[in-house]
Amino acid sequence: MGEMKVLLKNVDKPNSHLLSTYREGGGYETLKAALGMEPSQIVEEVKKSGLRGRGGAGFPTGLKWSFVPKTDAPKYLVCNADEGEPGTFKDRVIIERDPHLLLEGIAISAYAIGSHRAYIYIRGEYEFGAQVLERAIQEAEEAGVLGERPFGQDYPIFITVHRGAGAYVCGEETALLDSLEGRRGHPRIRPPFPASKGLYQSPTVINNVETLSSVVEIISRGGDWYASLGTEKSKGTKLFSISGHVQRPGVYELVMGTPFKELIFDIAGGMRPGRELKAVIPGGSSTPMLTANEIDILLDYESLVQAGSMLGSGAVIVLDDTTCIVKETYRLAQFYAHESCGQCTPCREGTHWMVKILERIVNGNGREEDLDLLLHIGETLGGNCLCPLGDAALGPVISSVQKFRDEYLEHIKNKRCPIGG
Amino acid sequence: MPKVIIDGIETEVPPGTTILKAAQKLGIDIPYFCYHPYLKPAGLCRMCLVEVEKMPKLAPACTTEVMDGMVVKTNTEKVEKARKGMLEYMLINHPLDCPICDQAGECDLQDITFKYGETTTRFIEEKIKHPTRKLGPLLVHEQNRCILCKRCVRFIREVVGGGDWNVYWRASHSLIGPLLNSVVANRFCGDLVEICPVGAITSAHNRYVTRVWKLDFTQSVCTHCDIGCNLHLGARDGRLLKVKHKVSYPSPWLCDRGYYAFDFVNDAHRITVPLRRADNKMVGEPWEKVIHEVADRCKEAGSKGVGAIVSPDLSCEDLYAWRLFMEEALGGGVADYRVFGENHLPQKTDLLFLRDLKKESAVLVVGEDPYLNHPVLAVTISEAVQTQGLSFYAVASGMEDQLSKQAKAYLNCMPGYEDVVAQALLSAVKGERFDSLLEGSGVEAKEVMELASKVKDERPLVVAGVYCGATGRKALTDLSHALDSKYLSMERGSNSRGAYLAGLYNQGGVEAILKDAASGKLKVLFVLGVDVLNCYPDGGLVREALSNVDTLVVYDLFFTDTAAYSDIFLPATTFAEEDGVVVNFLWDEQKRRATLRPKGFSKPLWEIAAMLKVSMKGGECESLNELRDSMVESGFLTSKGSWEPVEDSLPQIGEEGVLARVTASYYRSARYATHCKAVSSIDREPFLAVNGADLEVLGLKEDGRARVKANGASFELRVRAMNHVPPGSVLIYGGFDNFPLTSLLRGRWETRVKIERGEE
Amino acid sequence: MIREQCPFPLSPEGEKRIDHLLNRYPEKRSALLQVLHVVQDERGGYLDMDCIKYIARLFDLPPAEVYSVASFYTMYNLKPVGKYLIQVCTNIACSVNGAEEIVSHIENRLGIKRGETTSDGKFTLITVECLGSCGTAPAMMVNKDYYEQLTPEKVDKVLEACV
Repeated sequence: MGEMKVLLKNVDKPNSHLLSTYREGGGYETLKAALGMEPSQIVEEVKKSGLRGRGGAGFPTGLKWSFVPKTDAPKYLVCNADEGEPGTFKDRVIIERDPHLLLEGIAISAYAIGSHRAYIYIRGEYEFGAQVLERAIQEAEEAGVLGERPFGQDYPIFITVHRGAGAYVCGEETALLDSLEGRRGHPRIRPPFPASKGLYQSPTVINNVETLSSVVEIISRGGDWYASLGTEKSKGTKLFSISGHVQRPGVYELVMGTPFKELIFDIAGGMRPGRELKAVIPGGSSTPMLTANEIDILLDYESLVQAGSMLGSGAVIVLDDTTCIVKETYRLAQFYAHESCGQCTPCREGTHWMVKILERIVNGNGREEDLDLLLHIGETLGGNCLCPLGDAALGPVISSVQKFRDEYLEHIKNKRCPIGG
Repeated sequence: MPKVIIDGIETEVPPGTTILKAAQKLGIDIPYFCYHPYLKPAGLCRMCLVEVEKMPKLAPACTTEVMDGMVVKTNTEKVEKARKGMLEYMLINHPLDCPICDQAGECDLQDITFKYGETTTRFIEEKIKHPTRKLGPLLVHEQNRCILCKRCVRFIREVVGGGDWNVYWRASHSLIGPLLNSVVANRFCGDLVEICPVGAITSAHNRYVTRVWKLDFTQSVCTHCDIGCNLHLGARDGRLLKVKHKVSYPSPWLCDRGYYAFDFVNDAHRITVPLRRADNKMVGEPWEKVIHEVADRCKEAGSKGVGAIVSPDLSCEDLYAWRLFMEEALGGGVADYRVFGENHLPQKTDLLFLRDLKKESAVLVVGEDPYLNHPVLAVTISEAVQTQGLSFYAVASGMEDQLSKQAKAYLNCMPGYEDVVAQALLSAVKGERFDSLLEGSGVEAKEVMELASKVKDERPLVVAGVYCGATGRKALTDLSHALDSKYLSMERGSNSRGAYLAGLYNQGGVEAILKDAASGKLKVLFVLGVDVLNCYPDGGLVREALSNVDTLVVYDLFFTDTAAYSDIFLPATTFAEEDGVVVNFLWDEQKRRATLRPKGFSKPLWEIAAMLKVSMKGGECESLNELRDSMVESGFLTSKGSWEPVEDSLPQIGEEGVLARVTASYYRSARYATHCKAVSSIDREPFLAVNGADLEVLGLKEDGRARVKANGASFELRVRAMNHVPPGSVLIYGGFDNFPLTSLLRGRWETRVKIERGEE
Repeated sequence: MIREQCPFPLSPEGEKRIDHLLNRYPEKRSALLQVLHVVQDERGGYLDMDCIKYIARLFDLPPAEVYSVASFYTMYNLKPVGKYLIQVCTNIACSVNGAEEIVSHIENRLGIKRGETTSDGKFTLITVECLGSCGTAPAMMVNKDYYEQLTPEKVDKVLEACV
């Protein structure tokens, strides 16, 4: 357990973004080998590895690939690089500092699902990252590693970088597809699922940057090797973005099942002097908060679910005792209300309503019944929206009302913040 | 077929049926806002959430398809809670201004809250507010009331196509409507009002006029074209106040002429007493006296001395009664309904329903712009193009972008050359030579060849438009036979087929009648329900006829330009004031019910015909029922048109000057447009439409003025550059009273004109 | 047509880029977001109605459709912005690391409130959602460049370098 650099093995090398650096470390050899394999073999290896989607939902990657119909119709692979969940900045590290790892992962995965065209949907703010990727693609195509005939094989692979323009909801895979088609990023009704009707109504697989990057080492060293890392159901290594009130925030790669406390207090350097841990948002801003007493757990999908939260994108936001939970919850509620696409009623109106209620509490105009009202909104909004954004908005609100009720009540009774925030 | 159990009741439905439709079949109510039976389901409002066994979350009934063995519950506590929740959300930013909202009484949000909602809200904050937007004379948009169901946006996208109506921004700040505060330029504003489940889009025309529950609704049929859309007319205190399109026949959609152009019925300028000319003044007289006088003059004139020009918008009863009067009392006389100068008779059609058009893989329209002449046909085509990939082909002159943009091939021919291109197309399909035909048509042989090869492959439904004359229709009929494809012919006038069935046509058409009147051969001329001076394409001839005939009897609503020549004026009833049948473009008889009593002393024509008959022959006046019985016995309504359109030829277009066609803009083409407040305010003056590329050649300026001369007539018109106008020709958009552009014409709608720059 | 129809002087690179983008996807419309980016850059950071109409023509779409798309995404500025668009992240990781102080500092320094532009048209200050710099919070972007681990002093230096 603990740190292990599989995905991050190159990022600290000088000129890590260049093709030459990447190839010196054996880069693209896995793609070369993969192009000699049967695509179904690759899918099998990925299934064997137990790799699960690293974007947040944790869906088994190999299984997702196997839903793609085996027809001659065009198929698309889309890399979700719309990293927008507050607290998450792990994909940016790969994109900017080891772009070829991602490209190799995309190429292998595209070959596995029978696709010749892949798109990297990158959030608009990562313009630098987009440029790094575009240059890397050009380099790789010129070197004959990607493009018309990768390694001389008759299997064209074209990768295109597509920039978003500031919409968190486009991280949701069907909204991403609409955005990629040049429309408003509105999540689609499912079914049909993207695996049968995705981009341009064709079969499409959408995977996160980290997921696709993980494929390289899985194919290189075998699914069994990957599956030997981690816990029974959470395999391999995972990137964790840790931020907030820790001494050494950053991106760390840990074997699944590493103790949560080891990440916070050891790897990330613990709290600032004289400060105490108050709460942790363990998997990106949408995951329910955990209190300082609830983190004596392991970092894997199951343990976090058991603790009442989610591993999500592995974005750990650490909050110390100077934090006003109500104010930060209000800030997150504002984020979700701002990012709601506005299509469906409960998300559009419910997120707006939660902001209004929290605003009142923060401003000292709260009422005690507002807390039950927030919980009630949780019940009528939760599970009833067209896409997961509504549920995501509930994560911080409901958990903080449940776990920090006293702090809310102090705001309401004293009409001001006890922390002074 | 999959079996599903909904609330304990089992039913079988075809695969692909949604839970909502299956529930409706069982009579189980599932509330909804964004779902609309004629739009694609969207799953946005979340009002129709139901519980499905084995599904962890509630499922939207509008988008979830039934699977075999599915167990659905619509009446559980969980569902009830979700419904209350959705309604509470819906009302967060929705003002409770029902007392002053025009939608009240027919508002889904009101009804569903009434049935499923809570009595109070817990939202105590200020609502998001937006200004009211008046979008031209037809629409008022209240964003505050909008629940963002997007029915309107989807309607424009899926049905109308393109368009300037969308959703902007996002989240709770989303806005809906046209870009900027522009006047909405599509012809389906009424449908936007109708599909809006709340009061966000309301009619500017009837704003704050009446509560909908105070209206008496009666079924009727639109009077503005031969599509014959079924309407509900809402009246109160003797006034027609609202049109609703609740009946989805023949189309789920209704165009704005139907929705907005009805208030001529209430217009105070209507003449409602019979008038007789005395000392060059029109003086009101009792019916008996006027009828006697007309009967006397008819007797004097004899059967050969009486002619009648009848409106193709009158009901079958009116037209049939008129025929009986002429046959039985006069013993002859000539009559014709082809007041637009048509030289053909209506033809049979292969379509049983308009919606069957969507079963076709291709449609070829020749000789009209459906978006102008038959918008409901246009929207049916456009919807099939958007949603089913229908191939649309068109040959027409000056078709607007709205539809032509959706065409796979569009041949924009010179005005009046539609028949010629139709003939050329037929020849091309048959492999015959046609090059010489195309001279002057503005269409290249190559284009015709290409179109021919496409229609040979795709065998489109062939639609003959209103600008197709007899030769064009003959060619198109042959074309559809050659392709073994279906055929549909469109006519002017909402009941021209009824007039044809009533036998009110004769050799030579209206022209012959006018000439006989002009020459003095006719002593008595009846002009019934039509302002022939503004509608027959030879103003000079009409004026001569009206002036020369001894006795001119005009039957109409208003003292029209034609009526100014009358010796006797008979006050007419409107379509809303009389029971009657009209025959639509599918040869279906559609019933109109009287919504209002005849205004003042006005009478339906059938009654006048019966009175005249009695006055001349004695006996008793027939009742409407007796008239109907004899109509049925005569087999009148059972016959259909023939495949043979053949009649006489149209006059040639001259050689000198610029080729011009006189037409009317969409809103001005409504019947009695001048007397309809909303639609008459849209196009305020006639104008000359010139292709942008021709402006310089003609020495004209956009928005400047031009003087147009032909056949001794001369008009000054505003110039507008419009690129749908075939280069080298001009279109003159009229449709205004006291502006008889027909004086430029000599028997057909096209003419050669001299154009000079007008005074600025 | 890319150049001829353009309502403002288009750089040769911009023209090349638009041409490339319009032909890059199986369906032309996919390039809409990318072309909006290019035109906004060419136009000095915001899209006026002429730009919207121009792009609508390039894609054969109604202007309302283009505006609908553009207004959905926060990175398209549909109102004029200053030469330097300062975007300070105020989401949680930055917020707990003093983002509000950074915003106040900039407000005081420039004499404007968030959402406003300085009277000389040089700076526009807005707050934005998470920029993906949570590990180096607080962070901001000035036009396209990231500045991280901000302190008031560091902000001053960045702003001084804006000429």
